[in-house]
Amino acid sequence: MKKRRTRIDCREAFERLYAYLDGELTTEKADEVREHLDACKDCFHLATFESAYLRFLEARTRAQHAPEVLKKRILRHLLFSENASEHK
Amino acid sequence: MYRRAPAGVRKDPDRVRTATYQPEKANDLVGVHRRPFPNQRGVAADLSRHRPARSQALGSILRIQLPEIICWWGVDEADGLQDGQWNDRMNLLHCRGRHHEVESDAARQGNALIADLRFDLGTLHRETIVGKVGFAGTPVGHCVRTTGERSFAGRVNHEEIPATVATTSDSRRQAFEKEALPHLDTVYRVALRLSGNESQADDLTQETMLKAFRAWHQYRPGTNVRAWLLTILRNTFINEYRKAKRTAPEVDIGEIEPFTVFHEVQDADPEGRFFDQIVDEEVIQAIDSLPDEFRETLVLSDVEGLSYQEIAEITQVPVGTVKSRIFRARQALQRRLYDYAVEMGYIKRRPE
Repeated sequence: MKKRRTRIDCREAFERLYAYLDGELTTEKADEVREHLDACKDCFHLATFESAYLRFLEARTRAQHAPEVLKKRILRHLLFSENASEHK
Repeated sequence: MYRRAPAGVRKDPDRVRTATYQPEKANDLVGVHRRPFPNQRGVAADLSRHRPARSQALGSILRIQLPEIICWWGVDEADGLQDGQWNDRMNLLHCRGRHHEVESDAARQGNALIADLRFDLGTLHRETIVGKVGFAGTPVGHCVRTTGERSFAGRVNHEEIPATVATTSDSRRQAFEKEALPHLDTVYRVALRLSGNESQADDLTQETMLKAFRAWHQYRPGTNVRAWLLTILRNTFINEYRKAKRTAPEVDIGEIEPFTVFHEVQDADPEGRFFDQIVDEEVIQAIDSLPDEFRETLVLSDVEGLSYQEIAEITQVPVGTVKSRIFRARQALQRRLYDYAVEMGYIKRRPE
């Protein structure tokens, strides 16, 4: 398969991939990754896969919430923590 | 001080307890010249005209203070009380200088914060009490049910309490409630992943929030409150909890394969659909099995969506280290999830 030459190679693109997907690269570095992904089918598929993986992680891990009982307990502590000073 | 109920009006507890709220009578409960419930014995507590009362709301907790409560009682016709005698027979009770304070869980209904209250009237009266509750002359609720001895139940709509009464003096608490409390779930989830068990996560979360509240003056408004809270959380965890060190299976960072799982699934499942079959619990368990630094970084980045810079500040390492940890943590986790998926038969391992 013929590949267009890009400024970075597959390895470099892979190393930067997560930072790229996280939006943590500078414009210039992100452009280099984008250019590579446009040119390299393998890396493009890899990026699609990794991106699906990150979305999956997010979806599977944010469902947990602080229990209501705990919330109430904390609120109560907050209310009472200043009680003494208020009545002074 | 008050007169005892006249002899012969001995209470019939069952009957009293069945007294229920009658909306059409509610207004009649204000003032001393009306009988609360014509055909029922009872005591009315009128909280409507006595100021100052104040209320504080924090999240879904409502606390109300009443400096005094007036309550009166009367008996019904069956006990020989005539209409015209009502005033005479009525016993007006003042309870001055006493602080009545109640705290109640409240529920939001639209803009309103509704709380069911129960005032303990102490030695005021042992009779069942029915009545109306109000603040500074503004009725804001009424008794919905008689509740047995020594207490008064009412329903209060916090929003209807006049602004001058609802305290706004505690700006610190309000600011904390507005800024910090919305991040409680985040704090809890990170606490859960750091500590690895729910009861410790509870304690850790509570301690973090209370510490943050005490240190609220150190927080600079407009800066990143979530990162600030998580820093407190992490420090608390390391200083006070990590002593009982978690036993995460050791993973030699160097052993993590440089190739992503993708290379093994690209023929069978290039879009990673097998992930979708893995349930939450398995993902959480896989995260928990990561070594401490990986787990911490991954939770902050992938569970809570913090930026590399934020994570660097919280975990006190350079951004480059964060980047590298995220990379390795994700790869390690992905490998575990893949192995699990293979084990469960969600995907076939590629023949060597």
